[in-house]
Amino acid sequence: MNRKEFELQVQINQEPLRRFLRNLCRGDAALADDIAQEAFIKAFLHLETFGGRSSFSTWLFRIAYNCFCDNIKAAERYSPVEVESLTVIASEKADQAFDHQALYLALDKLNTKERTALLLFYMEEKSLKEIAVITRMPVNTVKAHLSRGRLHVSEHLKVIGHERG
Amino acid sequence: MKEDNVKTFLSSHKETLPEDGFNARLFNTLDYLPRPNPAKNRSPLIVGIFTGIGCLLFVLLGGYSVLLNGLSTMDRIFVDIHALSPDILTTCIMLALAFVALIRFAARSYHR
Repeated sequence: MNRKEFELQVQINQEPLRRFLRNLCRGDAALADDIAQEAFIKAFLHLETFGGRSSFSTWLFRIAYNCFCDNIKAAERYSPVEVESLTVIASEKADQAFDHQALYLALDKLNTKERTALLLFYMEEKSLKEIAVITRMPVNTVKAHLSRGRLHVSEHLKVIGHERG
Repeated sequence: MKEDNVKTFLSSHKETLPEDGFNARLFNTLDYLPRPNPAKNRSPLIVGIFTGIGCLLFVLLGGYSVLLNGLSTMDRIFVDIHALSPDILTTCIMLALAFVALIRFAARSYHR
């Protein structure tokens, strides 16, 4: 893949990837875009390792998810105080983005793996197999996270009165 | 019902993000990065090395005579299965492996 082809892939994948990361970061757009930039740069620098066994999108999501996990680990390791303040910032941003406040609050009820599985499956329409590749988890584990995530979101929707039927 | 609710809730909150100069910022950064290394196909080298090792072992361990002996006596196993000697077994395995390798090579060449 040359630079032109890569730029085309950036144009195709930037929106779903940024949306996924923004939801994963519970509305922190700046952090999500930073991770997306990092993921694209890493992908560009390691283009030769893309063997075509999965789609480019799946490969890219996998890199981005790894970057997100590294980010969380680094934040926990180096600045435990800042992690808390970051959560506050995310909540404030969620308040600003009123339309998506309900979503971010619901995602807040999930752990990272459940959130990832739910967002990839329902919002980015990835298959179970693709999610397994992205998160490096067996398909059955992905199914379990999906099931638990659904349960938690469903309970939250019941509490806020969003439950239908 | 629970799944429907969650699905409806999540898909109703699927936002369309404006590009906001994201691509331009990324492409500017890429301009200052070293060009990525072209993909290296090392498989011919690996195949060559292992073929060489295989041929060497074949010659050193007298594989040629084992193979000839096995081929010449292979028909016996169709009459009596107890006639299956190590020579014949080795020949059968080697022939099977050769066929598998040939079919794999043909399939890959066809897909290319």
